[in-house]
Amino acid sequence: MIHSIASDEGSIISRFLSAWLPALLVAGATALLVSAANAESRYDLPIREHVFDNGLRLLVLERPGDPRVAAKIFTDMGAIHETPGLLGAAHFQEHLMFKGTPTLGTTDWGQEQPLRERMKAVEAELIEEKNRARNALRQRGAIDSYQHQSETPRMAELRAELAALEAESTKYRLGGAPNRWYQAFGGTNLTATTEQEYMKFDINLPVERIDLFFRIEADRMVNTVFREFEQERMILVEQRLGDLNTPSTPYYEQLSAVTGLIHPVFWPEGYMTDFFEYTRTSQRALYETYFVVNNSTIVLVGGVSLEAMIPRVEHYFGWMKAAPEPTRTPAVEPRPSAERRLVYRNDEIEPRVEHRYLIPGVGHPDRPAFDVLGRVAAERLAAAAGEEGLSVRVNVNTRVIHTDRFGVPATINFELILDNEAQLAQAETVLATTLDSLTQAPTQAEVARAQKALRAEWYRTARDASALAFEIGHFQTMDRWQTLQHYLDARDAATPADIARLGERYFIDDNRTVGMARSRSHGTSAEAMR
Amino acid sequence: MKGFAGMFSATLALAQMAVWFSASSAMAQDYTHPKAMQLPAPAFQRPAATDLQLVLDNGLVAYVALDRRAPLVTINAYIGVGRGHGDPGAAEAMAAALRRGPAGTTQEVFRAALADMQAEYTVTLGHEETQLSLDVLAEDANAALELMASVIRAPAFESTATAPSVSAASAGVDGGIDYASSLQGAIDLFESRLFEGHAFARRADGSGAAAKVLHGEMARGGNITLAVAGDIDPATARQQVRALFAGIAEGSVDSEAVFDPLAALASRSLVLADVDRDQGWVVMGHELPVIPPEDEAALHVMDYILGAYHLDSRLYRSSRELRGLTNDNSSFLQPGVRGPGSYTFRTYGRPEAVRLLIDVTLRQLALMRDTRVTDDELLVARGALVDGLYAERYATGLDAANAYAVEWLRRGSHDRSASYPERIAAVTAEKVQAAARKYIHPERMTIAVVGPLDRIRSAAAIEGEARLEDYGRPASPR
Repeated sequence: MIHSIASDEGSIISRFLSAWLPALLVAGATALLVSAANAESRYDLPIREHVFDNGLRLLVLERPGDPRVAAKIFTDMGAIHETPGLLGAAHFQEHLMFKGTPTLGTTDWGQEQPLRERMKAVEAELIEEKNRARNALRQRGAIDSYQHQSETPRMAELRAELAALEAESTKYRLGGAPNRWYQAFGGTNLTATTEQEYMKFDINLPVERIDLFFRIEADRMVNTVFREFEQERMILVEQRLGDLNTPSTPYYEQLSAVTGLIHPVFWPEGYMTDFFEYTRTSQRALYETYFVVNNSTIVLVGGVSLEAMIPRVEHYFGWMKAAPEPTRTPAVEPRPSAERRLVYRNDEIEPRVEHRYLIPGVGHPDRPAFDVLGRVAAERLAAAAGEEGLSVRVNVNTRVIHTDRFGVPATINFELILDNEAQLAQAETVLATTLDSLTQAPTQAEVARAQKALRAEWYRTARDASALAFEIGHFQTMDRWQTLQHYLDARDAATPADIARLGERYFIDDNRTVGMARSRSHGTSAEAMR
Repeated sequence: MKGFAGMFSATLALAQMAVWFSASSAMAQDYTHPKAMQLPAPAFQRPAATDLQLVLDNGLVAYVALDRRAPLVTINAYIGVGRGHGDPGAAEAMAAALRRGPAGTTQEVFRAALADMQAEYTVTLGHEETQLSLDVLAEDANAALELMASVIRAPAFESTATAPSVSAASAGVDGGIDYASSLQGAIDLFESRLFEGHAFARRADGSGAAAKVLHGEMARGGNITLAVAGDIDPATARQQVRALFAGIAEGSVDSEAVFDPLAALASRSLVLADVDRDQGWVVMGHELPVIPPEDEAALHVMDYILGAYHLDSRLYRSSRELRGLTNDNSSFLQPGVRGPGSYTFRTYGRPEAVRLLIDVTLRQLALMRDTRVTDDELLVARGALVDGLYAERYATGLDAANAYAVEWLRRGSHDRSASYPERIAAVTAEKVQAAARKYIHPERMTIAVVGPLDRIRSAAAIEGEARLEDYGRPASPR
């Protein structure tokens, strides 16, 4: 069975109306308004969809004449599917999936395969030994237990055996695959990303060579070999160290942890201890559960057509069988019921104060207008700080860890970064007063300016085929790809009254988390702490 | 009837074949190796430069291209004046003036105009060139063209000296270099040493008067190119460019003038900066002379194979994939046009990995000079450079207009880029090795290391790497 849909919902609605017009005459006004609104959309997003029998989704935005195509494959899986103690495992999985397959990345799979099987057995014994030694390995201390590295002699032996097997397997490693084949045939923008709600692999190719994308990604989805496991573990450590070299990283991670009570969207990309807990077995479980064809979406933007791509995708992916629907995180963030406050003391970062509020995820009707509200607030905060004589940088965003939008509740963040720590309390007052002022409707001019800024930002995204493909795939993993155009239209349609309503509904004391970063040397007076 | 039956039978057979074919293709994975996939050659040809080009009476050359991907218009101006021109610091002061906007307009008014347009405006100062970029919604294209023309014609000079011109991220720390922040600290440290005493060195003491003189000499039509691309009517845009940019002074500058070369070091040099971080950053390299056209293709292929910031280079594989020492180890080939450039190798990692990273990099450089690359490496590099990077450079109207505008400013023609694919195709393993021997000089590199030096020094050797200071000695390892 084939399911093809175009994003031209105006025409869908028209067909719907012509078939059911008599029954809808009474309630037709609303439907006609929706249709008219879509027809007047500023955003030309002729996305077309095909869902294959096995559940694989193909989304194509055709740009006739474009010599290249931005190709991405999204997996509906990310950090929110991780387990405490194994944070960062999704990101690690992405690294492992660059390591090739039995047909790409080895000089002799026949020789390599027995070594891989042996590794599996040794690791199983290591896991067993570790589970058995739970009392010896259990965390006891409260301050320094992150350094807890003890293990039994047998564990050390097994680790050494694993290392030896891994070293032996490098004799057969044909490094660079599959990356090099993308590059050899004109691939650019070769990368991958894992965030809380998605993983994606990216490439831009000449349109004539799009088959290469299907060939490599189908292989990657099913046959990945977890080569150079220990090296990649250390690269995750390197990336984490890189994050931590920015002194503000721990502050923002702590603030996220305080903002969300239980939802994994607020968890960081792994603590140092987590990186040493990943096993081939745990990674294999992630891989086999989530990297299945019915949990994947291919997005193509460029000089290709949906009709031409369907048989090509069928050829490479059509043989795959749909798997059981992967487990989703059952976490539901409880309704906020208390203001939370974090004070982070550090001499290396500039003093700053931030108010965060939980807001709905993409797919909720209130979410688009928060983008408008954020722009209005940023301008008001800059003006208010100036009037108060504060030297500040204003930072308004919806980021948690690295990501700006989610399909689950996350936050809108209003931050003032100061030159002068003594002005922290005054800055927080400016924050509170300004955000409170949003409960009174902003002017039409403020809203229009914000909307123009958002349009310019979107067009700059849409101009780039790769960035546009990302947005389409991101919306699909957050909610549905159809939401993207509605989201953009809803931002344009937001009114001052909408902004005021959001302020009243969401900017309440119980929904606020306050973050404050200050030097260690500065006293914490009652006034500064409010 | 017989005929009909026969036709039916043939149709059935064809249908069965179709079913078989589709079933067979749907029942098993296609493992064809990419090299055996017979992927077609890209049909794309870059647009003819002459179709986009517009030459004004004052000598300014513009490229105007339609680009309907979004209702935006981008205006990029390239001026052949950079840090190496004029009195010390004059170019920095001129760039600051260009950032302030047109003369006769206050900063606030200029910023408000940009904000009203939701414009992105940047001025980037290089050794030999300055780029101005203005990106706006198509509805504001006319105003943006006017604004760009007036800024170039008469920027808002100030009479006082400019602020330090180092990047905002590294300003104000220990002579303008924030060693603690990132790899950028090591890059700044390396470049401060490499260009010390040269016209390309950074300076922050330029006056508005000197900047005005420099601008008067250099911001002339024959020394400026323009790229205008976006959701525009090209004919109208060409008229506007003619009308608005005609007011720029005519004339050209001496295109034969060259900058002094950098004196090559006699031996290695190690420069260190101690910071309390959990990683160390390394930038190692040396000066690069002006590259003659006959060397360019082989040098690009060699650099691509060695380390040109992608996921399959020798540096990347040896440091990251095989050893897990770093998130990246890449080369940066940055030749000048009429003056010296640099060739650097940049990496970073935990303190115990830093010396090994230096060692592995040096080993790879030696290997590049001493041995021939493989056929597969050549295949990958050629494909990546031509079907990938080169094709992408002309893939959209904006890309093509920019590429042509930059090339015209530098070369005064498009011959060099026109022959690039053929020149790349002709590169052999022997030419790659010759390029490595000519342009890589491990024996006289400057090695800048920024990080927790005591931890880097005291780490146990992993593969027999030397002590840190030994890498800076005349008879240094590798």
